[in-house]
Amino acid sequence: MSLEDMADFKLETEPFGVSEVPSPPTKDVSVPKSSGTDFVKKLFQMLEENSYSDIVRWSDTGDSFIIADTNEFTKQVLPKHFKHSNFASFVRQLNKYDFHKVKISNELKQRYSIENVWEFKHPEFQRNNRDALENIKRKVTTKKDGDVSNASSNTVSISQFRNLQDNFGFLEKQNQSLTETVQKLHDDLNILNTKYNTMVSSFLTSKSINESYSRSISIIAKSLSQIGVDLPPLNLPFADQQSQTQNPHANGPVQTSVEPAQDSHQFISPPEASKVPQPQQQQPQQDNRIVRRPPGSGMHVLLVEDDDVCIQLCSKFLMKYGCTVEVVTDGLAAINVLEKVKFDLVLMDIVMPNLDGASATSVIRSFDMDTPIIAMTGNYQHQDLVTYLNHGMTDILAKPFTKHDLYMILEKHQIDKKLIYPVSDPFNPMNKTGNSQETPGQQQVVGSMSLENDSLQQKLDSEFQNSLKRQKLA
Amino acid sequence: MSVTQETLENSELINWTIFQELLLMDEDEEGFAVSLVKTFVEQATGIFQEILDLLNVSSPSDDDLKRISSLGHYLKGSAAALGLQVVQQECERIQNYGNKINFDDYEPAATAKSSSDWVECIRSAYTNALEGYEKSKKLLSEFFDEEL
Repeated sequence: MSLEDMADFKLETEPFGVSEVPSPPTKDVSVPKSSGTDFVKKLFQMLEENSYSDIVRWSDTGDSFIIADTNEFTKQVLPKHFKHSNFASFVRQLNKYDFHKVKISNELKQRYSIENVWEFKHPEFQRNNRDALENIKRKVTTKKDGDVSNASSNTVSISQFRNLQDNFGFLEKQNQSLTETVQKLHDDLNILNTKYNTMVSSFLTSKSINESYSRSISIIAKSLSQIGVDLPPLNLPFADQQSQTQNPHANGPVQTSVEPAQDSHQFISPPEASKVPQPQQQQPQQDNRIVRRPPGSGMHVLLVEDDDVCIQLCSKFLMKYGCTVEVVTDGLAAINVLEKVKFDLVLMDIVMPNLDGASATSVIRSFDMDTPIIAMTGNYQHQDLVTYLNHGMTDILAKPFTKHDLYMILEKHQIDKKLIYPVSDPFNPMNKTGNSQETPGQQQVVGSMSLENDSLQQKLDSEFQNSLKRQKLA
Repeated sequence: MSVTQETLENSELINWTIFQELLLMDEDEEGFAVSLVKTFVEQATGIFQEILDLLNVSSPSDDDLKRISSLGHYLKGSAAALGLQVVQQECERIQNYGNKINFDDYEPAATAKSSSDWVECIRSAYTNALEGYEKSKKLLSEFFDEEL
């Protein structure tokens, strides 16, 4: 369509003016005519006026109209002439009047060099043919006919579809972010659970420490009162339990062989010594783990150690005392084994690959509160030793240890088994002379009192002094 | 001069109390002590080499130092178990210097700033450890009358 042509149309259409031409009565139209045919007439009128020829105009043939720029159309034309707020709604209205979209020919595309071009067509909608407009009717659809309304409700307009698509996209994103949040919360919960387990185990450890303190204080009080010292009432929190948790095997054959040596160090009278409770006697929890202790074994010991030399030496010592030994070489493996098998004692190295001994003990304590776990360590730092105890370790065996050191630990933590103690052993404390005399002596005092934290404290002190000595030497 | 119990006892290299326990294990199992020492020699050879490789890294990272420290700790444990006290002590120095801790008031360590400074401290301890190890090995070879 040339500009000249358009000028002609403009002139031609002038007489109609802006004023609305009253439409003839349309009896069969299903939609009120005010909104019905008005739309088509408005459209016709606008096209005849041709005041937006850059945006919307008749096609060359005059039997269709072209919207050349949908954006501008939406911005400029729609608000002025129609009540549609967006282009999609305008198109929907056209569809209702049975307008069809025309596929744009390449020729036109080239001429306007625009991609975003829409062309609509209705057989009765033609340039200069106002009368024919009366034949354009809203498609028979709504309300009156149930079937038809059903059919139409099954179809969704493009804008609705887009809305739904948007909604769907939004929901999808929301769902995704919720899933991520849930996952994160789940992870956080797991971390908290682990921490909680660790907390509980360290809480229980400190509880048993408190109990030990109470017991030791009450023992001291008794001995003092026996000597004749007047003491104020103590009101110890755990004192009542003391009489109930007596050591049932204080007079085993093994201990009697050691007892005489203890006397020189003891400050508790013998009757008291036999009453000493064992802190190891935790309330037994339900335990489905198997006991794999071979017949005849004094103690079934799990050795957790990554150093070949230490493994060979330590297992040798253990076997010498009639123990049976299983060996694993890192903390993770220790956890795995202890989940399935019940041991009488665990000897645990601290520095190991995969998982260190202290952390492994924390985990083990979440399902096993009563198996003694002994830290084997060459670390003499005060703080480290306290840390091990807080992780739920029962006692410390300082590296390098003599056979006798090991024996003292075994004896102290045995449950109901008889250890073999070779009396002829030159390292029997009774025969012992030389530079390591000091250590077993201390341990025996400790052993007789069965106070694990006392033992730790003394060990700490002696190790601390040792390390000071060594520093001076160096 | 043959190496006897007295030689070992008087030696600064070996903690006799610990080592004697090892020997007593032979009562139950012939050759246990010497086989354990052999295990140690095998281990130590590998670890000394590993430490040396790390010391010769051109610009050592903190991770390299940490690795050296943990190797030092490992060898310290084995040496201590056999009573090889010089090796044990020097390995403890390696372990601490690797963590940049001057635990024994060693003067170069007190002034060490860069990783390379610490590497030099470790190198000194390493030389001592290796020397102590070679001497101990020679002594024990003669004691057991067996090449280790």
